Amino acid sequence: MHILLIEDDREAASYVIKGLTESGHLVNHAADGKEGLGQALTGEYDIMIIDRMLPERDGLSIVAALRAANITTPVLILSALGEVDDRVEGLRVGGDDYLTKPYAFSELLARVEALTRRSHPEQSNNKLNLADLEMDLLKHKVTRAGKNINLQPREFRLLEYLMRHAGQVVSRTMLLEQVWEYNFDPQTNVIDVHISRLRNKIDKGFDKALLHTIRGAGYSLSETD
Amino acid sequence: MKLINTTVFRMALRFAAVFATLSVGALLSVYFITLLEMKEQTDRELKYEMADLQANFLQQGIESFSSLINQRDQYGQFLHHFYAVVDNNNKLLAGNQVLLEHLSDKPVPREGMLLEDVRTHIDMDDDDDNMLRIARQKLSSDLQLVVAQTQKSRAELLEHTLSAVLMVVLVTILLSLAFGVYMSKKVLSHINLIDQGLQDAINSDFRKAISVPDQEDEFQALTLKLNLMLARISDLITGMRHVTDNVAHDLRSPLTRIRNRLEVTLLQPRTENEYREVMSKAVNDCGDLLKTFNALLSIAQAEAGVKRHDWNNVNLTTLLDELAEFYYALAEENQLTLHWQKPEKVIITGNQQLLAQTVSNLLENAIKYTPAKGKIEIRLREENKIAQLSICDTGPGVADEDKPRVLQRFQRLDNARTSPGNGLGLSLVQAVAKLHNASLELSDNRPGLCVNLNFPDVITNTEQ
Repeated sequence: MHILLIEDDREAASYVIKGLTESGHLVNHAADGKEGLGQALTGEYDIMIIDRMLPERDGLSIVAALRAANITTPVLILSALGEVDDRVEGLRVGGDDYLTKPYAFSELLARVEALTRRSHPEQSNNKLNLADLEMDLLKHKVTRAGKNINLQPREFRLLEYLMRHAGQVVSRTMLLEQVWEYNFDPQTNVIDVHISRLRNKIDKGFDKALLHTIRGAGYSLSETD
Repeated sequence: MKLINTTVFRMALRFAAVFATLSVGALLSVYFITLLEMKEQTDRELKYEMADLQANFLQQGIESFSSLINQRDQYGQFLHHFYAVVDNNNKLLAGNQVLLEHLSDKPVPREGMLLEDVRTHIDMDDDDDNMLRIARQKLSSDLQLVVAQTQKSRAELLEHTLSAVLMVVLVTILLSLAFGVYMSKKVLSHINLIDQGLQDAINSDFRKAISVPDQEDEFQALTLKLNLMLARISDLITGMRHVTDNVAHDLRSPLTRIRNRLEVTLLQPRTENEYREVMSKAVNDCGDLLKTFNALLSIAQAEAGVKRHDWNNVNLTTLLDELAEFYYALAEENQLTLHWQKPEKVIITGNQQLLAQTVSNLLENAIKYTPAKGKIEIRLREENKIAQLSICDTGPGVADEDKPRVLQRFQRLDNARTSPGNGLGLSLVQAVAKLHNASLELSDNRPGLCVNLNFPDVITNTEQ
C-alpha cells in the first residue's frame, strides 16, 4: 500500500515509517499541513494518516479540503486530544478512523490495514466466505463445511467484522468500537472471552483453525496459520 | 491599604473638587452680575436725582438752590450721597468741598451727564477707600451740578452675602471630605478583613476560609462566595496533589521496571530469543501504562465536564442490557452468575460512552473481587423520577471505615493489591456520577457490596 503520513513530530514519524515499511508498505512523509495537503491532493495514495495538530494547517482542515476536492482516499486521523467529541468531529469532517495518542504501533497498523480493505469492498455483499466458512448476511446464517453454526446476534456481528477483515489483524479496541460500539478499554479480558466462545463455535471439531490470536496485537481470521 | 487608594475616598475627593469648582464659578458670575447691576442702579439713581435737582434749580433760582444743595449734601452724607455746584473753573459755589478734589479736567458735555469713577475715602465713617461714582451735568452755561455716590453699602451687602455663601461652600467641601474619609474607612475596614482573609488563605494553600461578617450585606455575600471559591480551589489542589503523588507512585514503578529490565538485558550479549522475550514483556508493560493513562484521561474528561453537545437521551435499560450481555460470558468464565432483570425503559440525559464505561468499571470490579460461585446483580428501577442503578455482588464487600477511601484515585485496598487493575475504576465512577448530578453510595449487600447510583431527572415517555 502507498501511504501518506502527515505528522510534524519527526521522531514519532520515523518510527511509524519504519514500522509501516517493515510491514510491507510504501510511506511518504510530510512534516507540515501545507506540504501534506499538497501531497495529498496528488491523489496517488491508498491511505493517509494525518495528525490533527500540525504547523501551517491543521489536520481536520486538510481532510475537509480533500473531501471537498472529491478525493475519497481513506483517512486515519491521529490526535493527542482524545476527547469523545473530538472523535465525533474528526469523523464528521470526513475522517474514516480516529486514533488517540499515545497509541500502540500494532493498533495503528491494524487500523491502517482495516482501512485499506474498506476502500476496496468485496463484490458480493450478501455472502462472506473464508475457506469452508460461509456467512449469509440476508438469512443471518453461518455454516462451516455445510454444518450449521448457531450464533448469538452479537457473535454474528463479531464474526461478520472478522470475516470482512479476513487475513488482517484486528485489535481488541477495534472490535470494541466496531462490534460493541464502546469507546473505552475494559480492564479485563472480556473480549478474549467472547473470542474464545466464538472460536469454540466455528473452530471446534474442525481440522483447521481459522481464528488466530496474534500476541500483543489482537486477532486474525485467516486460512493460514 | 492607604486611604487615598480607596475608591470611595477618591470618589469623595472628586465630588468635593467638582462641587468646589461649580460653586466658585457660580459665585463669581453672581458677583460680577450683581456688580454690574449695582452700577446700573447707581446710575439710574444719579440720573433721577440730577433731573430732580435741575427742575428745582429752574424753579428756585441759584440762591435757594444753593441752600438746597448744602442741605442735601449735609444729610446725604449718611447715605453716602454727595452734592456740589461748581462753576466752569471748578470753583465751589455750594455743597461738598471734598468732592471738589475728585473732579477731573474732563469737559462736561452740553447735554447729558459725565460719569466717572474715583477711588477715595470720602465717607465719614470709613477709612477704607471706596468706589465713588461722580456724575456731572451742566445746570446753565457756567454752572455744573455734581452728584456722587459711594457704593459702600451695596458693596458691603454683596461682600457679606458672598462670604456667607463661601462659608457654606467651604463647609460643604469639608463635610464631603470628612464623609469620604469616614465612608472609605468603613468600606476599607470591610475590605481589609476580606483582604487579610484572602492573604491568610493564600498563605495556607487555600485551606483557611475568610471569617464571614455578621451583618447581612454585600460584603457578607461576597465573603460567602469567596469562601466557596477557596473551598473549590482547595479541593482541586488536594485532588491534584493526590493525583501527582499517585501518578508518581503508580507510573514510576512500572516505568522503572521497564527501564531496569531493558538496561540489564543490554549488560551482556543475549540470544535472540532472550531479546525477544524481554522486548515483548516491555511492550506488555507499556500497554498497561497506556491503559492507566487512558483511564486518567477519561477521569479528567469527566471531571472537566464533557461538552454538553455530547449529551443525549440515554436509555439506561438498553445500555445495561448490552453491558449485561457483554459481561455475561466473562462472569460465567469466572464461575459467577450475572442477574439482570430488564425493567421498562428508563431514560436520562447524559453521555452514553461515559455511562457505559462507568457501569463497565463497576461490573469488572464485581467480577474481579467476587469469589467463584458468587452472584452479581444489575438492578435498575425508577422511583419518583429518580433512576436507581445498582451493581451488587457477593464478594468480600468494603468495610465501613474503608468506604471513603475506595473512591480515591489509585486507591486499592490491601487485599486487592495482588489482582490486576490500576485503582482508577471507582474514581471514574465518582467523576461520572458527579457530572450527571447523580449520588454515589456504597451499601452492604450482606454479604458483598452494592454500588448505588441515583440519577435525578428521569425523562418520562411523554417528554420525548
